[in-house]
Amino acid sequence: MDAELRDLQRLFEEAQHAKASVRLSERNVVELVLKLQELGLLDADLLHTVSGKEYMTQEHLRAEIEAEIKRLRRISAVELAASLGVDLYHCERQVEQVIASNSDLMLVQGEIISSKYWDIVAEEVNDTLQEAGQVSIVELARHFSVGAELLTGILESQLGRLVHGKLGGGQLYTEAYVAKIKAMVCGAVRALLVPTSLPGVWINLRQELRERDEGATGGTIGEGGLFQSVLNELVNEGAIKGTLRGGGTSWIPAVFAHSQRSSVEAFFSQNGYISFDAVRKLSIPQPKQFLQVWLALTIFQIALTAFIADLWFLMARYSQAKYPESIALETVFVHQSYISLMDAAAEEAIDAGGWFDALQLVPSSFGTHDTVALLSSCLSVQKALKESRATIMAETCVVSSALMKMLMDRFEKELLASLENSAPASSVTMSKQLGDGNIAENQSRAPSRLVSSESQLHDTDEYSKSKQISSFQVDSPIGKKMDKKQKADNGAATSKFSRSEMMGDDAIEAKTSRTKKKAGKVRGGKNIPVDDLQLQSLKTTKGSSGRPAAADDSIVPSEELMLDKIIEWFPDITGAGVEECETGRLANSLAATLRPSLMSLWSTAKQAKFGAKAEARRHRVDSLLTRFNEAYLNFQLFSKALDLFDEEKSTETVLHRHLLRTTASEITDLILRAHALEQMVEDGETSLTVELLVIDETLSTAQRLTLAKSVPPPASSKAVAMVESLDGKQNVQAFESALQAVLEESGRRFKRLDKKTEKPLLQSYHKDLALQVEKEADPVTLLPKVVALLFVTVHNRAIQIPGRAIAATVAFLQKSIPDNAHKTLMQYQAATVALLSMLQTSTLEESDCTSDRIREKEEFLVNHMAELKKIALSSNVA
Amino acid sequence: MDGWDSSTKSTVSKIPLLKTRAGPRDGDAWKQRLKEEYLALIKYMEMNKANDNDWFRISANPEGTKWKGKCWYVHNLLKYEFELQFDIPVTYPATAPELELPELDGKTAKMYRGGKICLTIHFKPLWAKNCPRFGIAHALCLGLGPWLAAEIPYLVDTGMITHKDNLSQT
Repeated sequence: MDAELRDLQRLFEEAQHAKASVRLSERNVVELVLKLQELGLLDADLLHTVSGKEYMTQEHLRAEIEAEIKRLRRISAVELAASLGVDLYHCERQVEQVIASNSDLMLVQGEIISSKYWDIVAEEVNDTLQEAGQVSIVELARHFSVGAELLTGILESQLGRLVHGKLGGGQLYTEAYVAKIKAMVCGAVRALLVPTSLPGVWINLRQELRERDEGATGGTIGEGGLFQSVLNELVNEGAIKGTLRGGGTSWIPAVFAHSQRSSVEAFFSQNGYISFDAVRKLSIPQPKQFLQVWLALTIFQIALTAFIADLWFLMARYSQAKYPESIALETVFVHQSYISLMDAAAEEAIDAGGWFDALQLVPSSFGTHDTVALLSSCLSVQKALKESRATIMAETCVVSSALMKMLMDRFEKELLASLENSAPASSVTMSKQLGDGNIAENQSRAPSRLVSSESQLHDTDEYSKSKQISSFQVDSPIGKKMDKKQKADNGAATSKFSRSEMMGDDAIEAKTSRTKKKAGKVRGGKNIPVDDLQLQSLKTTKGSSGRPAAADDSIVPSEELMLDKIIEWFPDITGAGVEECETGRLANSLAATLRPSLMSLWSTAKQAKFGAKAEARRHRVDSLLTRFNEAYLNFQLFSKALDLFDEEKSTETVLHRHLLRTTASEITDLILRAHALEQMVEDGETSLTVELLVIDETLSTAQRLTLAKSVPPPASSKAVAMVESLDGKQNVQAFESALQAVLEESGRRFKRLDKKTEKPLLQSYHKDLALQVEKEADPVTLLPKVVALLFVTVHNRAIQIPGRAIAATVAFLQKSIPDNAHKTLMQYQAATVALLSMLQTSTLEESDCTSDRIREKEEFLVNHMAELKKIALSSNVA
Repeated sequence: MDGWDSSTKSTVSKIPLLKTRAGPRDGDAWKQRLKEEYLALIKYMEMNKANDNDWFRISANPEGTKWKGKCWYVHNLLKYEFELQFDIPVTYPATAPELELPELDGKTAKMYRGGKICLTIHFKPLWAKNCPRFGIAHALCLGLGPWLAAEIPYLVDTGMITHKDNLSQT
């Protein structure tokens, strides 16, 4: 038999006897395991893999984990779970146990790390560090993917053992590198002369570093910290001098601080003050604190800082000793000496009854508030204020009460004087009074001024003119009416106005700039003449522009005017106070303070004065009007009687003319006077008419005409017509119509004669006549009265009979009176005429016969007087 | 290859095919053939063991013409074991060997006289078609295996055969 076959046979036999692999289904196995656990043959904490295909005991898992850790030295629990195919939960539990049992292991953020791993890391870090000079911990942490803090902790423990370098600010450095940085920082900071923000310096240094070893070091992040620590080290070593400010972000070199302080010191010791602005300019951020602290440093503090800056120490002590009592004001730091200076000045001013401006005692860099504060800290000022011996005005000026009182007195005097002066002129204000003289002066100077303005103008003239303009312009809206008057008053000056109006702007500019320049010098008193001129011109303007103000009710001198006055009296006040307008504020505030009291004073005085005056004027007008009323009624009454003489033309004319000459004239005069007076009340105009008004006499035709012409325009023509209608040829009707026109124009209403008023009037007239007749002793004058009485009695009309018309009237009466009475009347009349003609002729040296005859006639008349009276009175009774 | 379940078919396809066409009377050629038979059987046996499907034991006389052994089937967690024997026919490989289960003679209809199992109608044409590539291993796999799987449960159910108490675990 073939060997091969035998082999095969044997092989087959073997194959048949080989153990067959038992295949159980998973389900069966699971059931089996469960059965085993049920039977207690297997532990209950049997594990199975994630795939579910394998069972595993806890011990096995632990062994596997340990093996894994040993192999990898660092492994995360998650990785472990994945690689062992066991649920993370079980893994972690086992890991905890493993770590607890093994002190070499640590669990960091779900990672198991053995101490051997750290050794390797440390070695690796050291290699990198030695190679690069510096390594950032953050970078290392990123590289090893561990927390920076953890790594720092680990490295710190390894520092000097496995890692040779220095740890700082999240960086690892070699000593050499630190030395290099130190040298760089030292150089950079030593080069700084002014306060510098360090981060900027660091950026530059970093850039330089980066450029120098490009690529050698991966990143140079976080070197700021190193720079800072190196700097601190240097400062502590005394290698560089200076201080760190702002939390170590800015560097102030000692040399800078020194120069800063020495400049402050120099300025302060020279000037006795230093403004905070100036200190700030030296880049000291909080000047007040700085100065206070610096100048009030205690010795102890100085000693503390001494080792930093010896020089400063000396200086500080020096300054402290020198200026122990300096004061910090709002914008300035000032030495005590200023207060004593001011104190002395205030005392002097107050005692002398004068004033002084604190602002002029202090340097220009002092603010108003500072000056005020300084002033208020003066002892003498405080005292004076308390005792009300002085007041502070315009914030910085101390004015003694004596001065105030004096000013007040002067103004009062001025005021009262003006009041007095204005009395005769019936309405003049103080301002007018002030201006009066100057108007004349102005007028007289006007021509020369015109000439000068044509050529190169003298600057004061220009100034005055511009001043005029400004006031003129301001005033003009008050009363248009006044413009005309001013023009008329000023005469030639008007041309000057128009001229200066044109160049007003320039002049004003020139003026303002000049006053500014002057402000400083004013106290020197050199430019007082200029001031005088200014005053003059000012007054001139006020004078001319004062009248509109007078038309207003407030006639008290305006503040401006007071200002001018004050400056006139005290020229040196001009520049005092804070300059806000062209004149100093002191003058302004003085004026403002004084004005109210002056105003009340004035108003009381004025009221008394004005009240009396106006009352008188009104009274006069009233009486004129009542008189006019009466006269008019009489006129109407008389004119009625004229109607009876229609037939006798000649008599009528005579009567007409007589009436015009008497009653109508009276009426006209009254009207014209009333007008004139009214006008005076209105605008306070005083002129020659006043005299005419005062004298209570009949006016001449010429006078009437002038008065009529002075009546305001629309009415004046009518008035003139009326006056003309009085003259001769016209009759009463013409006059009456003219009168009506005038009355209409003037807006007055007068009583017209009607039945009601006529009767009592007539009766009173009748009675009056009767009384006169009864009392009349003169035979000549008796006749017209008797005739008039008879006329009234007979015709019930009042009549005015001129001598020439008596005969005609008597004849007219013939029809209505008894014959005997008429006869007596005729005889009496004839005798009277004869007597009168005789008297007329006997003016020459006459013979006795004429006088005899006269006497005879007189006797006759006297004899007949009783008879005549009887006739008249009896008819009256009848 | 209809008539067989898929696992049988896949198994059969894995059994190495034979090459030599020789019967027991062909001398060396038969030896050659026998070697191939053994190789196929070893392979088949290994496969069965690997699949936990070990179900027979056979051994041959030195000539390789008479084979005897055992086969078994597990039904309802009980192992039923039977004697197995067969001869190599003279016309082999053209004629398939007739597998005998003498213990079951007369107990089932699917059996010829003398305990030769009655194969399906599909077996013969398949064998003929695959002559000489099919050998003893193939015959066992395609013939006896399916027959046991079909008949034993039936025989057990009908009570024709009962399980012996002395079960031996292989």
